[in-house]
Amino acid sequence: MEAISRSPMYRARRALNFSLQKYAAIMRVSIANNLAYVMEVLFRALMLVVLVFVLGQLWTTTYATRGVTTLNGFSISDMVWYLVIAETIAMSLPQLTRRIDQDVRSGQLAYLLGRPCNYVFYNFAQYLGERLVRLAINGVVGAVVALIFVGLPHFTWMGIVAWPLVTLFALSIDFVAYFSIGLLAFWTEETSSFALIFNRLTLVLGGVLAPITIFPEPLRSIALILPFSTILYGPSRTLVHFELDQFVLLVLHQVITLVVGGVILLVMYQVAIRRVNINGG
Amino acid sequence: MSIIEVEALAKTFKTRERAAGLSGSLHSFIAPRYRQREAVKPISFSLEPGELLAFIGPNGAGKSTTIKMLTGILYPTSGKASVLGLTPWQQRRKLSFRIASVYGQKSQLWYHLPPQDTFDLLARIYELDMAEYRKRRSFLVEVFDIEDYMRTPARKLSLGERMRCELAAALLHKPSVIFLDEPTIGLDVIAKQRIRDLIGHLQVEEGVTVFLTSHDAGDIEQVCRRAIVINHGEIILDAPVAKLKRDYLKVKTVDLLLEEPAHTLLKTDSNTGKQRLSVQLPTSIHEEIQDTEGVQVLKAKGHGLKLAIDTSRTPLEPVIAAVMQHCHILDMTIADPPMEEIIATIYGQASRDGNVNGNDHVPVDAEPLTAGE
Repeated sequence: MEAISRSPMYRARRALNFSLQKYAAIMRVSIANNLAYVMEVLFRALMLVVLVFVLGQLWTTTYATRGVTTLNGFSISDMVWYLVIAETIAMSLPQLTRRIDQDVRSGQLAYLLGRPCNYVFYNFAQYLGERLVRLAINGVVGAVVALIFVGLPHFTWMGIVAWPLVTLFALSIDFVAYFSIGLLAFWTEETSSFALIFNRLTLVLGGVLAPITIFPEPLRSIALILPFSTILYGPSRTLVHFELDQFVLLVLHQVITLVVGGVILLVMYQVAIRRVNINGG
Repeated sequence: MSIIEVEALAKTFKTRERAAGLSGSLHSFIAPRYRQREAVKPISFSLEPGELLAFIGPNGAGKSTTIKMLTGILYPTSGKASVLGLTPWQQRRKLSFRIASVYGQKSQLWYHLPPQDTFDLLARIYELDMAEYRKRRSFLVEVFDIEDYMRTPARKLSLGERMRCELAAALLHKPSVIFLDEPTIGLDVIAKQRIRDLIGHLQVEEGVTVFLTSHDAGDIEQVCRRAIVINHGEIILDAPVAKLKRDYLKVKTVDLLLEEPAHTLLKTDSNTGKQRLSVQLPTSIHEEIQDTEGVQVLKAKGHGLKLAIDTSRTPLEPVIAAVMQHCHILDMTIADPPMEEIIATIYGQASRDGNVNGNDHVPVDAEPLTAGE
């Protein structure tokens, strides 16, 4: 028995178990913390009503003017549901960069670094908890709006099954990007401008206003190659218009983006952690 | 064996200099200039298990930087340190299971949630056995008397209540060493006293080693047995608190608001022309006290009277009693000398003892500096 408990395999499994429990607990606490101001999130989600209404009207006019019922395979119903899903993801983004920036500048980092947990994973679990609360509320509000405007969606069961996976990857890509930008606080005086640029690029090139496939060339090809498309366009299209080959390509694109972004983040983190210059003292 | 060993530990920060004005900002942008700042000059000391150490100094002296190096958060520029046999910045994760740190100006409690949730989370983070954790939590909740706050969102707790919860949270995993960085900062007198009592209590109950930084002399006097004074990153004194009290914390400032005009208690010394307190000390209480020569009048205006009392020559109690015999005291504040004054006294003492080196800094090995030794 003792031999088993000392084996590297046993120790690795035990450590993994503790880690999973640890980060799951952080995510649970983060969800609870964000549910404390659920009304604020709900009111913010109401902005979806305005956005979907305006964009829905624009697309209805476009379809009517061109005298078509579909655009690149998207009916007006698909288009509205696409917009709702893309906006649901886009509007669920918490102020991650600002939190990391504040942690670095205020010295709050000291508490987290002094604990037996990884600062990056701690923040990922916290971010995920925060984002899931917003995503759920936005999703409910958006679904109600879309149901009223265009009725039931034409989702396939494969799309419904695949969507959580690609959305989780999309949220992870956002985390890697905004966390890395937050780490820039170790080198720069101001990080919010970088976060703003990334956010606007995600909205414009990520396909929040329209599916990227209806963009004109060469913008379409450029946008499809860039990582922004894996955050909004990819997951939204997966649910509205599931195609297996597109799904496989999307997952591949997301994994490559995550691996490259993750390596950049870890390198930045390793360098940054040696530059810790916590306030006070 | 020492629980903390520090040998020539130093930390230098590189800070960007920025000249004033628009041209200065532009110049700084194009050709930034950096300045090296020695936050901690090479310091050495050790701490035995169960010791209560006050690591004190004014703002910017290097206290927090030292704590952060000892907890593994900051990498030192040079030198060695060992905490519980581990090198903090190389074995931070391993060390974090055995130490705790509480920062008075920062909170580890989740703002919108009751402390109970943070406690549960910490149990997971420190990988505690849940049955053991529940027992430990009950014990700490009782000792710190925080049962009523455990289900109140942290944002609704007062600073004193929050700090008690912070301390209890830090002790959940039974640390061997606890680093307290300004734990009483911003607290009122009663809350401060409560925190000091609790720190003393936990040391007695659990035998935990306490490393406390503060610039409040009261924390040191009431909680610790040994004090290290740090200034400009250098240790200028390492002595028992009893010595510190006797030599450097002996003068108390007493601020009185009297029912009678203050001048009725004073008379002018014909030799010096200075005002003196003119009251008869109750010799039945302190027979050795013959007069008020340890009492200096700092300010007397209207009904307000401010005295500096050298407690090594005249204890506080008979002076206050004598004033009370004469007239009613409407309000009274007793304060320790500010940290800057204590440090100035230490330097002054060292200078008189001839222990000052070329750059006016007291040598690191400050034990011989204690006055009257």
